[in-house]
Amino acid sequence: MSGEILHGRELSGPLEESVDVVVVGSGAGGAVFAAQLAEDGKSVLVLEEGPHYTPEEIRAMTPSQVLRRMWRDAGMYAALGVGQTPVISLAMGRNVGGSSVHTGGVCFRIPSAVHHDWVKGHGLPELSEAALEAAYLDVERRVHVVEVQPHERSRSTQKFAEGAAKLGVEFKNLRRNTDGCEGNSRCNFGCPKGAKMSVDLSYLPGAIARGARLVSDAQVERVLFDGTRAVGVEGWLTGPPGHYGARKHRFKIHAKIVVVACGTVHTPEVLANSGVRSKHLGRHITLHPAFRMGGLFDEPLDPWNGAMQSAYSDHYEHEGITVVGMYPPVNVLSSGLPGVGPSHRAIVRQNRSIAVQGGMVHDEGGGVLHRSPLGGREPLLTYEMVPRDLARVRRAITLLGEMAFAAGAKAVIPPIFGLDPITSLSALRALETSPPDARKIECMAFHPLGSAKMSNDPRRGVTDVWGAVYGMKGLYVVDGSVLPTSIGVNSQVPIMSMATRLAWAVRDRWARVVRG
Amino acid sequence: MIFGAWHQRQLGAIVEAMLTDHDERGELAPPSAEVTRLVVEDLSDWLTHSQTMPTAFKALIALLALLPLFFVGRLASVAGLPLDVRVTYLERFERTKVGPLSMAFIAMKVPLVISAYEVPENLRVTGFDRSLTERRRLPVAGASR
Ligand SMILES: Cc1cc2nc3c(=O)[nH]c(=O)nc-3n(C[C@H](O)[C@H](O)[C@H](O)COP(=O)(O)OP(=O)(O)OC[C@H]3O[C@@H](n4cnc5c(N)ncnc54)[C@H](O)[C@@H]3O)c2cc1C
Ligand code: SF4
Repeated sequence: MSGEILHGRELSGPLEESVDVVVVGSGAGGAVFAAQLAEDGKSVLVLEEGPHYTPEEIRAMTPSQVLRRMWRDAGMYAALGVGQTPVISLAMGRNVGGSSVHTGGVCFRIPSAVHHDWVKGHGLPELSEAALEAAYLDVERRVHVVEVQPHERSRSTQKFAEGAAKLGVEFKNLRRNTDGCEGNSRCNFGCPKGAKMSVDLSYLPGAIARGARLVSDAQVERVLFDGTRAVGVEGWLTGPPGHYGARKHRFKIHAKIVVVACGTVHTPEVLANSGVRSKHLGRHITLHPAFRMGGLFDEPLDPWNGAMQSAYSDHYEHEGITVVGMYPPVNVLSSGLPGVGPSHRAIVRQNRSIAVQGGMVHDEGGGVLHRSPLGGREPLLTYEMVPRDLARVRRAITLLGEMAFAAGAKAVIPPIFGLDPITSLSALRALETSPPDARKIECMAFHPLGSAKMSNDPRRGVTDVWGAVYGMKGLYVVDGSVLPTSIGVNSQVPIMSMATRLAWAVRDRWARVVRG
Repeated sequence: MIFGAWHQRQLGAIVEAMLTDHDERGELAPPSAEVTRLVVEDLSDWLTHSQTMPTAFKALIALLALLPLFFVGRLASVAGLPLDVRVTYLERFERTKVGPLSMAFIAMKVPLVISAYEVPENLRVTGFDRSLTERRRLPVAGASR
């Protein structure tokens, strides 16, 4: 039996159904869980707040159209910095496939050191590297993880790699979930080739072929309970597009188990609305604050030709810094270049000669979610960067600038609002020794994690190590929010692998899960 | 259009200054009224896809509109400034050492520039060799499909 994708915004009345498993959120965690259970023969319904777009529709959109239609809050969601903390622009997908649709395709496993810390430092032997091995392999096969070859590097990445090599720093090939990448370098804004194997292309079609159904434009408000047993969810069908969150009809889904996979920023809201109480809910959020560095060269590089992300360096891992290649679409890059009017035009004109490199820090976790004081759909996320992490950001800016100069850049363009390009190493280093206000740093994040973290002890976490919410029956969390700490690497494969592991556990204990 | 007449006028003046260039004689050359209008309309459309940003963006426009006195000593709104003073004003605003003001400027500049450089005549200035939705012309040797 084949399932289907229904556009919630096109349904003409309320929706009520009964299924075995209802999954809330169709991103990296939700889609994987749904596919695994559908393959096991369970009737699965996925509810996704955002719209559904086909690869053909996505590829016809400009970057700003993707931002406004498919990114959370039209691409303008940000974590509000507390104290000496930059405002961190936080990217999240709000569409079928979730944030997975917008990744640069970078695939890392959770580093061994993090697994070790979970086992030894947090007393979670169930989360050892060996325990996740089978899940990693399954995910990597399904999403087609391949190593990016050196010839796929853009000239932008090549420049930084050359500079790094002169400083004794090695760039390694990234692994990415692509099939037939042709180097269009706009992965964050919808791959025009459909080459990136995001979950809407890798997992959901298989789930639907096995009978799963997906309703887009369906925002779950709360989980329904019979005593402490989760028995379904309810919420609103929303739309039309361009009317963010406008409510049309109610839906109520009855289910044997409820799986919440709304992502780190939205899962706590659904749980809190449903009566889940834990002092850890919506706290300890890590973001991996990230930024870009530009290097201005004499010669044209046409930096937009090549895989958007192709190489990285873990040379500074001991300092909590990962260097990751990236190149955004040229209009997005231009928006961060300094100047107004003629001074901005002058630097925009040099785009062909600007190489870009990204850096990200392994942060301690200062994010806390609150109800927005302005009301509305989106919760407020505050983030206080600890001094150690701010120092890491500043250090990483220096390191990337040094690489650009070593590669022969005539100037570097640091991620500092309003700062003119810098033409000397001493001026670059001064940014670290006499730093500008932290709130002038242009910072982004793509990996919110940890708002409903796992623990073996209900006093120290929201779910147990199998994603089951403490104090409730039949209620699971399966997304980035359950990771116990920051992982220091890109999060899609870790989340998908964790979701696979949790799905297998539910599948193997099904009789107990629905009875207990 | 989510902006009323006052906000439209102020935003239009900011867009115009942001996209002003030098002509071949070194004089300031503003974008055409058509480009300015397109960008203002597009920003309005963009904001309708967010629940909170229309209000926040209007507040940002008001902030930028009303501070010329503090940066260029003129008791006028941004729309009331001549083009050269407007450019200087916004440049000084962007460079301010006051972190929150600098952030406010960027919150306006980022969507404005992203939207403006999707207009083909602006995109051409970047040197990008195709439209933003087109695929790369030269296929990579050895791609798997
Ligand atoms: C621009 C960008 C680039 C990235 N690049 C990389 C990369 O290169 N490599 C990498 O490993 N990771 C990358 N990531 C991170 C990765 O995509 C995420 O870590 C991962 O997708 C998170 O999975 P998730 O299941 O926790 O949440 P998501 O994938 O965000 O899915 C959550 C889904 O739930 C939906 N939802 C929320 N609330 C509700 C509700 N109440 N009712 C119904 N549905 C709801 C959301 O709309 C969303 O679709 C990137 C992310 C972004 C945004
Ligand atoms: S680099 Fe281009 S072709 Fe490759 S996955 Fe990204 S957008 Fe698609």
